Amino acid sequence: MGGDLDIKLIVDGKRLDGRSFDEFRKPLKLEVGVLREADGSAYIEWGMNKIIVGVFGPREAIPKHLADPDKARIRCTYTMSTFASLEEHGRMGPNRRAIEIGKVVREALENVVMVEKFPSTIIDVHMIVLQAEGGTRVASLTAAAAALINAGIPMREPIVGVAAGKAGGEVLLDIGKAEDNYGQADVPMAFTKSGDIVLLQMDGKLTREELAKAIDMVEKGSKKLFKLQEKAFEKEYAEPIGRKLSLLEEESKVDIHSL
Amino acid sequence: MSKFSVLSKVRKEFISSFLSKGKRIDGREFLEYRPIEVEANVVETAEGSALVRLGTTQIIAGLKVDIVEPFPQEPNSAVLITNAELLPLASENFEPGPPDERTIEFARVVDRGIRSAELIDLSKYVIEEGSKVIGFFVDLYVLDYGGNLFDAGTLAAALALKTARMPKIENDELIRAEYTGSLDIDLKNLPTSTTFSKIDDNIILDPNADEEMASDVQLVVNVTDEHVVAMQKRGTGSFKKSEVLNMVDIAFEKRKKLIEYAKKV
Amino acid sequence: MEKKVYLPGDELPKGTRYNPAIARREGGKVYTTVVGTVEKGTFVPYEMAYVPQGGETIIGVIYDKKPSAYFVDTATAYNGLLLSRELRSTSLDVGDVISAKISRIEGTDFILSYPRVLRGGKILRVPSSKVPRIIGKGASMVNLIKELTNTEIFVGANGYIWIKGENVDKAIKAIHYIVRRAHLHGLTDDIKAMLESGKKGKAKPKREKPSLEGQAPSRKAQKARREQPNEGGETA
Repeated sequence: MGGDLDIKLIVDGKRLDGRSFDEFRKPLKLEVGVLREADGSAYIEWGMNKIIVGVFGPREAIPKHLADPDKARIRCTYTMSTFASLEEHGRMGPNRRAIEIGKVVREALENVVMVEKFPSTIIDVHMIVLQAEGGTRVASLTAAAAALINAGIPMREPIVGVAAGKAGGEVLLDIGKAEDNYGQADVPMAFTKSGDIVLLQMDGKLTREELAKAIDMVEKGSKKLFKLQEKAFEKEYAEPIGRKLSLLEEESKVDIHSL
Repeated sequence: MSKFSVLSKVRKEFISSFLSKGKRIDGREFLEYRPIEVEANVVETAEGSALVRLGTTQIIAGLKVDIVEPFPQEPNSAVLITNAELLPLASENFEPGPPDERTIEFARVVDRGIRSAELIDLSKYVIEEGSKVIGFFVDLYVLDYGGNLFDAGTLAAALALKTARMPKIENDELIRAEYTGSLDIDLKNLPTSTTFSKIDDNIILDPNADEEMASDVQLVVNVTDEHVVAMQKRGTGSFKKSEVLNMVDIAFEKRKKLIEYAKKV
Repeated sequence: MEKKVYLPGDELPKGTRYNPAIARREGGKVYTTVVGTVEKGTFVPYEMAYVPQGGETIIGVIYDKKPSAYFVDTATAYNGLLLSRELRSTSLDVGDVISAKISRIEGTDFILSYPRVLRGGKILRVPSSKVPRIIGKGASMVNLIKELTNTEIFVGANGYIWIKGENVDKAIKAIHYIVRRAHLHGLTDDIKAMLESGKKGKAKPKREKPSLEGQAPSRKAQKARREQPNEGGETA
């Protein structure tokens, strides 16, 4: 939140990139089943963000003391590549920000993943941000939920996330990097399909009315993300047109483990 | 015996039983690569990037360019550092946390190949002798581990450099997102890596994950058009002299195919 | 045929048969908990993490032995435990492959019974969510592969598969094909075309006597998960 730097973020009722106040960045693309080794995976492109999520489990809790006899434990890691931003070379390894994001995403997922079905096991959710342009935590969460579904891990319902914020004096959906840096507030949120808030953070200054507006905006916007999720799964399991049996193609791509 | 070692033994018997009949578990010839796909400029925020798929292995390489201080012992040389991360989403056997010896070995072998091959003439990227040089940071992220990280990683790193865009330099400062052109690279100096696994007495090329785990020993050979530029014997087993020279010959032979992927991007 | 993809939380149409392990009932309505579709009035999962239910037959590898028990790897979050007294005469070695029934689940241990030693074959691992498709309707798929490749195949509900016989590599290829395309229709025809095209005029392999025991796990898994979810399953 840079505050009131003299950068015009809203011109003629439009945002810097031409979006209206409640419009998502483009592209907005979600694909599932992108990794071979992971039990479930998803790839999201959201504005300039490019994120891959891989899920493993439920699997044996090692070391044993990690096991909870009543439910599966979810482990969530968030990694930002060293070349994810236009600025200088980033550092490898998790920083405080990455650890916090892992925690809040995990706590959101714990609402919907039916962890009670898999006592004493671990479910791993690993998120890698290859390219970042603001809003990576909610984009990662949206992809993480899709990856969990792709892994066949039982969930009560899906979740999706998007941030609202305030920039140029207006409440805006899906704020981009400039709007975050030079705006007045950032409110990342995640919703369940039935309308519960499972992730909520806030940074900046908002009036009560503005906050209410931001929450409404995200709730409305999340409907679009649930559609995106549905589309991704319809595409993954749709019958390809003109499918041909190609032995050669298959031969060298064995992904079954000999053990 | 631990669970892991028992399973390794069963896996090895499985793979050996195929090799003894002249077959591999995925139907390949002993000296045949899996399909390779390359894609460049996959990350717009990087100065250079490439995604390489080798069978089911997927590695993404990204290059960041900075202005840095040179190493004190090489005041007239730009800095080139290759690093790697085996992301925990790439394999059920990769754990989050600081790099282990396998990760470090992987990054260092890729680094040596690119450095020894003199893919980049580091003396050309000195801004101010002893104080300001260009730093080239190549980082490899393993997205899917299907065996043979080295060949895929070397190709990805080399392609990220080959397709890189050099940021503009003005008053000794980098102007991000304004580019002046590509790096000065000669394909004959682009290293290609070929990895061999020895299982029983059979030598196979481009091992997949299962074959890699069943290997007694491995040899990674990096070559340019004219030279062998890096090698690494991995694993506890051993090779005969004739085997090593034979593998080097094959590495030169396979280079002809591998270099085509570099020409493509 | 129904084409809609159901996501977790979607309500299943009234009267749909479903496996209670992958759906939940709330207020008289039934909601799925995994991604899948409805085929001929039955909810069929596209993906399904292995939820052990007890009673199913799995395949495992002995990785340790103590005087009173064997420890069995199951490629899942659970460890197999086979008490020595379950074996009548033979004794097992570390590295042996067995099929066995999960008689009960204690914490993260499977207590196994009715062991059968599988000697000399090859063991593969596939995602357990693909097991029903590998087995096929009434074991039709696995029988087809067995017949056309002249092999003996046991499919464990946990995703371990044991194969022995003439064209093991072809059988592996066919299984691989199913794993990649488990969600598509017409798989049986594809597999037939694939395995028969490879034979090129070779004599038709002799039909193996169907091994009842071999199919026991398959049918069980089949029943529990797909074909007749009414038995042990429920209706929305």
